Amino acid sequence: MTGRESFRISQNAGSENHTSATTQLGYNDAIAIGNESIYFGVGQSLQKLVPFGPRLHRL
Amino acid sequence: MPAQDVESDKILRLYDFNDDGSVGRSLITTIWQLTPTTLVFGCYPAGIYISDVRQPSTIVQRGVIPRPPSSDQATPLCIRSRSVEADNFIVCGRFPSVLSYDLRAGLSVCGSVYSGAESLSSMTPVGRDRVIVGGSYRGNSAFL
Repeated sequence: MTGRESFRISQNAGSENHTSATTQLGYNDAIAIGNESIYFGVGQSLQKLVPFGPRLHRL
Repeated sequence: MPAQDVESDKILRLYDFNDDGSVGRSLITTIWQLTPTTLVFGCYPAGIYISDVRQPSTIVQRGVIPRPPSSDQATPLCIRSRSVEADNFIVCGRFPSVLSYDLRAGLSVCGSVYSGAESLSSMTPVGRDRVIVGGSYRGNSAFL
């Protein structure tokens, strides 16, 4: 990840109400990609994200 | 700004420094997955931690990166596996050396290679005994 790129993680609460929350990972945030999960650190918090599937796409 | 979207319905908080009463402000600076169940992550100002992802909020081991006299800090910026052996990994950061760890000996430095740089921000192993690192040498970016 370079200083000009970022990752944006959309968390969907369900298909019916379409609510979502977004975490923006920036230049100084850490990220590691595992086989089934993505691990990232935001500030003081270490978090794990389990994707739906291979839905990575560039905007 | 280029961005990538990742859709998910599950985000788990594995660990938070606010929850364990840590003194001072620790900021996670780098993460590496050693094995499917083991994460190693580094923090400002000089922390290094091993976490078992099967047990949220569990830090298995914690250590402090020794600050060399020539550096103002010892913040880790990049962690990589050293070999196929899951116990070995290397760390670089805001200090001039690449540090090697062997978890069989605990979270203490078991070897180091001095680079001559002021700071090393990124690296990748090449083969069994070599590593390419990038960092800052006298204020300029450089590959070493």
